[in-house]
Amino acid sequence: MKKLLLLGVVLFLAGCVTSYDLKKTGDAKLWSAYSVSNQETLNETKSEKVIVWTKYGPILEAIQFWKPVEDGQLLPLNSSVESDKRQRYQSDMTISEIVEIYREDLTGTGKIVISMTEPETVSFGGKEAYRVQSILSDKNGYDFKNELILSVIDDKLYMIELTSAAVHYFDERKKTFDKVIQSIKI
Amino acid sequence: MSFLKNIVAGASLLVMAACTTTNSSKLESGERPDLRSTEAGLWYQMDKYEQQIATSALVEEDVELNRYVRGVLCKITGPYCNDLRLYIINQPHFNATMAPNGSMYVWTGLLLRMQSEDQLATVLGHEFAHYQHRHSLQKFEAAKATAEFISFFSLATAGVGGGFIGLAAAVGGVGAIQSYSRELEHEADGEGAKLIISKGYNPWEAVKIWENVQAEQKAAEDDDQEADDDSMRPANSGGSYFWASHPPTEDRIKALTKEAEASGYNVSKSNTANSRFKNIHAKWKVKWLEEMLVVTPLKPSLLVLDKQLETNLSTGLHAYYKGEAYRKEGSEESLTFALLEYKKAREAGNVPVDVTKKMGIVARRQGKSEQSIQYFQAYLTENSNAKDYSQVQSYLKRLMVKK
Repeated sequence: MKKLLLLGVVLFLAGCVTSYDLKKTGDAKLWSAYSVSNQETLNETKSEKVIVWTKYGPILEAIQFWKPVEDGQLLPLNSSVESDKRQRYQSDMTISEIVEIYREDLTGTGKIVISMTEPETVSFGGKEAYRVQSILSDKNGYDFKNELILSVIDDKLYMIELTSAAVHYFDERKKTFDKVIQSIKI
Repeated sequence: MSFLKNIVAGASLLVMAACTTTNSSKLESGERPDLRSTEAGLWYQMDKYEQQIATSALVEEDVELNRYVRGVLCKITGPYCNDLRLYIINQPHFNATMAPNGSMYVWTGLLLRMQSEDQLATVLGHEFAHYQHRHSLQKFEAAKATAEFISFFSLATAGVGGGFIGLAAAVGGVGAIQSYSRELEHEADGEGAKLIISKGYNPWEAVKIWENVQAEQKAAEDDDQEADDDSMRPANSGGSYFWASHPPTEDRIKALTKEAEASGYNVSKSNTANSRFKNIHAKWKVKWLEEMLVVTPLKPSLLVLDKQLETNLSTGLHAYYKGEAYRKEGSEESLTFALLEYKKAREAGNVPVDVTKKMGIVARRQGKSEQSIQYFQAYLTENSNAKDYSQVQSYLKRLMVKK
């Protein structure tokens, strides 16, 4: 009886854990909007707003492909600030304004933004895009590095983000992230 | 796992609390608590947290800044200086905390709001008094006898996997080690004031701090109220962890005024050391202001900016950052004010070169495409080597297409 109960508890808890599927190498179509080439075996999970790829686990590192944001929508970050008090994306915003609301929303997730670089031009499948790097810390003093690639295409905001532990994992995963970004096809 | 750790740590604190003796006398310099004491348990928890935070990017490591603030701390704490570790935390809110093990955490948002070395010494003296008089331990003992223990227990043990600053941030500084009773706060105010007077600092500056804190708290409350009334308007969750745990009450200000009157100091007597303070403050002011504007709503932002004029913020930068505060708030009325402030900043000179670009952004948000184009073009003409040259060109292109 005890064993059955224990099994029940284990199964119940397992149900609460986000499940990941094996993502094999090859091309991947994301949000029916663009495709990227994946050159290593990874773990993938999908939700309504984001597709996450991770090799060592999401606490250590994750590449997040956010669902393209439409005019008037909130950025898809899990900010604890009430939604009616957050700024929304507007398609005629400048990049620096978008980066400002991204920074505010990051702060709303409980992370402390220690520094953030100015937007730097990169390519997103041949379209104009920008790269912003941040150093973040959480309330317990754990440090993270983050790189966001953002592009406004047909009034929609495309965001791909690498977030990882500041020590070791950012440099380790950056190479993969750069290859993914270079492989974008629209 | 961290939950289990918290439980184990909490249980060990409980056992220690039940089996050991406590000492509520003043802490002597160089003194460490008896290993079997409750106090040693508190120190142990804080030591663990301190180890974690010491290597974090949260800690500002600039040598000159650290040397200066530590210098003030050492000046007022004398022989205790070697028992204290100072951490300047990159957080734009107004806060300072002191852990029972001698680690002190001063947030950059607090440093920004300080107007003189006397004020800085006041805050450091106040926090040091909590340490010297073992207020954490007294709070722990008092809480043990009441239902409050549950909150103290969960917060103290969360320190194992959470953190002292994290806790203060997570709970707004309420209810934990940092929230002392009114009596303990008064004692820290009084002892802190005595300490700074003995070192030649002006106690009237302590009164000024609390008046400023009171004004900022009121501005934040007004702003919250307006944001609630206008659901279309974005609002940051401003406020301060410090005033949640250190309420700027009238009786507090009265008590400090009494202390200042008794000291015989003149309200306006300036401290010669303040020129050193001003130099350091001037070096960091812009960075701290920019960070403050990300997390602070409009009204308290404007108040902080106006206070900065008293510590030599140039009129140009004052107008520029006021423009930034209005632009970020984003209502129609604020955008009008933003443009006026940016214009003032441009006229005053010595402001960030992107002021013209910001004017273009505001004009575009106001729907004035023609004006926006002019500002962006002016920005590109004035700054042909700007890093964001191509970015601004693309805004221009979009505006031209829409025209």
